[in-house]
Amino acid sequence: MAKSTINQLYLNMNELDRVEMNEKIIIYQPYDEVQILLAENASCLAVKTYLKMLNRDFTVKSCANAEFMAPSGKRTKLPVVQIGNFIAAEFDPIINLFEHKSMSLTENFEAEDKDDLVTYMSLVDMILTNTELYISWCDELVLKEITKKRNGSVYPFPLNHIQNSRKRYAVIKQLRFYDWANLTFEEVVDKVDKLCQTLVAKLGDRDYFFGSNPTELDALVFGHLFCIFTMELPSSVSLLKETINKYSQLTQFCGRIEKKYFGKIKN
Amino acid sequence: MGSGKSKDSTTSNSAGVDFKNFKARVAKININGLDRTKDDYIQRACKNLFASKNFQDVLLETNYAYENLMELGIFKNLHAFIDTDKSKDASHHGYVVSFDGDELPRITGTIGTEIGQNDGALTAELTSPNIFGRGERASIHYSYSYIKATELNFKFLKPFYHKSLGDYKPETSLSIFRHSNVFPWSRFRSDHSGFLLDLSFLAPLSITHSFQYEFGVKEIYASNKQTPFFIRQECGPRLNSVFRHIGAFDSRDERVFPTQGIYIRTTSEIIGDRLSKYGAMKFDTHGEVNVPLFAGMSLQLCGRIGRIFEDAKVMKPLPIDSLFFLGGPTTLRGFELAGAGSYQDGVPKGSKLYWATGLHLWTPLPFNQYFGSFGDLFRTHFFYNFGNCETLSLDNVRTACGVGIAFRIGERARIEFNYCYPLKKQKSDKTVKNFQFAIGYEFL
Repeated sequence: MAKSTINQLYLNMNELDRVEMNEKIIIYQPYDEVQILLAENASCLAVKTYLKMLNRDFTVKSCANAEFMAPSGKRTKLPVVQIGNFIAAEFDPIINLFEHKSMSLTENFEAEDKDDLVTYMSLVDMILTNTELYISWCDELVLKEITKKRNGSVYPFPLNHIQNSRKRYAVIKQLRFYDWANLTFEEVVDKVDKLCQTLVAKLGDRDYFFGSNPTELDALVFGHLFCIFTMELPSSVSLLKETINKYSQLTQFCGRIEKKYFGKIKN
Repeated sequence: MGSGKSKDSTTSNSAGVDFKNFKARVAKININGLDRTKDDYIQRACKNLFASKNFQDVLLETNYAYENLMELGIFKNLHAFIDTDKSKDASHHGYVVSFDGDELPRITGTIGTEIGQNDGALTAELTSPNIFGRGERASIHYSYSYIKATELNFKFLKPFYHKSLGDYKPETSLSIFRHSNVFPWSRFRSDHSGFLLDLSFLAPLSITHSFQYEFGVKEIYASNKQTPFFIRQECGPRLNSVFRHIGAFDSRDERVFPTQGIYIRTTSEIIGDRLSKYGAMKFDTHGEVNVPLFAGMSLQLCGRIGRIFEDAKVMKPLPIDSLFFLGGPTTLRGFELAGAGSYQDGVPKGSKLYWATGLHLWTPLPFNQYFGSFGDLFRTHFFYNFGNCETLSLDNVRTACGVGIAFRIGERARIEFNYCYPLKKQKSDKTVKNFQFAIGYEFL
């Protein structure tokens, strides 16, 4: 009995290491065309970009309940990534998983650079995710015209209405936690504007934020900005796009990454 | 109600005087102590009293009327008096029957513990009986338990005892519920909230029927990081619209330790995942036959069978929380909860078909006569139970036998402490070889 328990433990530990990173990677995400929301799309794109940067192949599977499958994650809980028997969800935990396997893009970074990276990443993740959630769930027009239709599209009546209000409640709770729930749209754009200034200052004339090689931060920034650029939004919130478009370094940066990793995607 | 026909009027009283020889008729019935109850609601309850021909009838019918009145759910306590008719124009064999009662207060409450299937719960209930004067009852019920987690129920019940259909004991109720079922063996939890409409009545042959419609949202949550992926894929909210029929027949002499009689209960469901689409049917039947033997022993044969039919063209397959799990101390003894059946990724995956049977020999405790009434709380049993999943045949059947002692709690529940010996199991099954403890109210 005891022996078998020890064997079992040993096997379990081995299993963690056996999550060979060369196993097939499957990304689960909501349906692209009809269901996915801005923040979710951004998070999914960031993960896909990151995997492309790591030069890993992956398959994307669309399923309606992707966010409920997630074992981790605090914000969008998307995408869910399955590698063999291992599952992780959301950008941060997925990156941690790869880093744990010493497969990160920033292995040879100095501690100082690493701290920098983490700071920028949490800043970008916080501000842009909040912005996207704010636009989707707090702007009346977007909420009515886009968010509710998309989020409810996979549920039958009357579950679609129930799920819409449940999710809205959860999102507003999240925003309240960051003190974002009572901001006006202009204040939100202002925050994004400041973030863009910071990013431009960091980017400078280089190809990527930390020199000539891409990092997690590049994947994250690209994922969010590209989604904001390409998502069809009503004119009432077009100020956001215009604000980001002011910074040509950032648009060029996005174009560069898009061309390099997603040759097929047309803007 | 109203079934109070004087069936056993042949029995005479102990004093040797036959009350049947005394002519009697009931001239008047008084019901005192009612305030908010409407008159028409209670009238039917004592109607048969007026048909009495002799004093024996009067006594019996008073008894039935008493039961009927109590059943109306409006009295806290009730006393019946029979007196001779003292009015001026009274006939010399006229009687007056009086009922003195106290109405239930506007709000009553209870706090207590409840025993479920291998589960204990703390419950609190607040009831407002007889709201509009015709037995309507609204209640809020909250329970917190070890396995089922929490349950919140709001129920409005309307009986129709006073209408001409009263003989069939019709009752309608509307419940709004929210409860959560935990399936620790498969590492998920299922939350269920919605409303339930229920119409129950007693049909001829003393079969109780209830027709229910349930509408709600079911949501499966993975309970920890080890939850396998195939269960995760079923997580998320799901609409649940169910038409259900429950039929029950019970002729047992007792619920906890029956010695004779038959009990059958069948549940049939038509399940849909949207309001307009119904693609699954689920049947579950429990049957039990008790045969008395000599020296206080009795033989019990019980069985269960459940089956799910699905049409994949109409809707997605039913999620794992609607499937059957076989095994456990209250069903297939000798196996862990959900321990008999097929596994996937290390957890039971549920099945769409199962059956299980049990054969018991119940005996009183040895030297029972020395324990007095305390000994009646206990019984010993020898059992042999077998069952199977996914097939109706005896291939790969699971069997276990054993001996145990059972203890009665109240009128419904019992505790069992069994020594089990699994005889036949399948490779992936999880068995309990020694002692197994069970608490519940419905056993196999």
